[in-house]
Amino acid sequence: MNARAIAVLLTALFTAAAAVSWTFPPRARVYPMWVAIVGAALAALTWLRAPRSETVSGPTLSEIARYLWWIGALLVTTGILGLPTASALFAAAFLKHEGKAGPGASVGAAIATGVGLLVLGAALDLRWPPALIDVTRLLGLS
Amino acid sequence: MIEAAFAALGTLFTPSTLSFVLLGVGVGLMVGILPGLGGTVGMSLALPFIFGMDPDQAIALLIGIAAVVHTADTFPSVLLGVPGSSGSQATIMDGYPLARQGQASRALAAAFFASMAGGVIGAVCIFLVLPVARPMVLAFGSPELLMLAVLGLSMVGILSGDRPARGMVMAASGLLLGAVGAAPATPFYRFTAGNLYLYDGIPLAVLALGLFALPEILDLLAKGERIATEGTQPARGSVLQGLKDVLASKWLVVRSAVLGVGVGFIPGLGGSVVDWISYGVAARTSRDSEGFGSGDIRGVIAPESSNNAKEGGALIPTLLFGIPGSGATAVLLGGFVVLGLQPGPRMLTDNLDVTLLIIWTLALANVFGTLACLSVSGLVARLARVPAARLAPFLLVIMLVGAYQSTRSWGDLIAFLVIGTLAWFLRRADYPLPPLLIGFVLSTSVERNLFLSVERYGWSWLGHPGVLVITAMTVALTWGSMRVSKRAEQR
Repeated sequence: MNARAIAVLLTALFTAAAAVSWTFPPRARVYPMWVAIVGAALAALTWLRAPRSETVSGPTLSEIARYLWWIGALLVTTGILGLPTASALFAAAFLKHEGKAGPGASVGAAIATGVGLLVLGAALDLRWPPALIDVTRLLGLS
Repeated sequence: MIEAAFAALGTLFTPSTLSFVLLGVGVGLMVGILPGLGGTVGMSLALPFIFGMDPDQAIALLIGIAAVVHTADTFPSVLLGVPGSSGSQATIMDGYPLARQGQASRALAAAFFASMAGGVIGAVCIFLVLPVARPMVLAFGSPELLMLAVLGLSMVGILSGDRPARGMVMAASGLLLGAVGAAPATPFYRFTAGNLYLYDGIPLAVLALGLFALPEILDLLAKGERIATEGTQPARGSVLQGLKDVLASKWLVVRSAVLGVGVGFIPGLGGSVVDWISYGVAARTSRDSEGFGSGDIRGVIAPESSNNAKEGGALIPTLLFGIPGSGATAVLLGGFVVLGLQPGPRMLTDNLDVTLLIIWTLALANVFGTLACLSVSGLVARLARVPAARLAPFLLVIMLVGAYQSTRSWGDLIAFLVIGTLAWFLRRADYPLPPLLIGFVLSTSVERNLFLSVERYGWSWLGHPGVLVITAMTVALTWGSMRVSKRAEQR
């Protein structure tokens, strides 16, 4: 997605926000409506000024998609096993597959991540997302 | 007052009080280093423990935490380009480019020395200003606060680089995102689509982490890079270089610290904007400012001096009126109540010893915090040389933990992922992201104060002396920066 396409999308979003704001009660309406109108005008201006074809630098969506799947997998595992356990598994798997680390380093990273999170959680009274089978809670570790 | 000051210093240097300062500094550093957690979280952690404690020790603990959170939050800002807390957002502008150039140790050292100087100047400023601060605080009404927010918004020009139109679109996006949730003027929820998570708006920590952390990590992973793309400087020489940088910019440090105290002591403006303002002022008023945004050490020194000084400024309305100047001071206020202290003008008469102890603790904790951070900065800076694929899993976990603490709901994690992915697209298309953050931070302040000003004064508030002075400052700074930009283009 290049700058022009984003400008078109933003113009549409600001316009929609302005239209939705119109339905709000007067005291809730003025600020978002005017911000949206100004935003739509600025985004349209950017759209008109953006070159038709602009070279975009950096990695492509297909190159980062793999890592988005990793993060998605971490979130799903967190929902099932709880954050400390999911993080430990994630660290080991990621280091093994993406970091090309040896099995010893991967297991060490898993233990360090899990234990580190539990210690940090206890010290700072942190909360973890609720999970279907919270392994650390079942083991009485959190 | 001088005698009382020495007596308070004596109290501070008793072993028990001093040990609580150190404990507070330790907790503050730990909280500061984790992205997404700030002083409010640190103070909240300590609050349950102060029941029944000796007031001197409890105050040493609480102030020790508050004083150093903005020292330690420099680590993620410089090394990862992720704001460690709301007070270190602007540090990423030049701190992270310096880390990419292999100068992480220098940037960290300069930031720590600047933080220490800012914190100490903040403490001195409270000592000097406290007796005469009352009319100054009362002079700031909603119109003046609105214009200060506009002054903050004018920084968008600086933060947009050579894409001013895109910067303004991003600022408008931030202002609109800030309007999500409860309207300040009426009981109505906007743009929530019936989703309970959005009723309180998007949390700042989630937005900041999503905007800056996730796109950066995704890019580093995809490119197979390390954070430091160039050779890394040795840590010891860099610490000395950082000190030299701060000494060379001593007036910038003083100016930014005084600005930090000034913004901090205005209740309601919030600490999240002070670093942007001091960064913008530094970029607009410094000579040879073309390097700002691409690794100018002054872009690290200015916000770091002001965010620690701000804690001192925020204590003034807290002590004098019982009005918290920031989230952390709101919790501190709760601590005062627990300890049986009543904030108000009597803090300068009946409880002068406590007030002076607070000031001394603030200064000393800043020194301790800086020494602690400097002692580990070389080690931590080495992280910049670790390949992204080996660092990313730990960073992602820390970020998820930090994001989740915002409202402690699944929405935080989902919002982090969605915002991060959208930010990646924006960044790739060369849309500057800092203006979005500054728009978001200032959104509530702009709307609330605009509403209050119009309701209370009609449009006559536009003629208030304070409004005129701040407007003149905004115009002068904008005009000055435009001139500097033009000169740079001509060269």
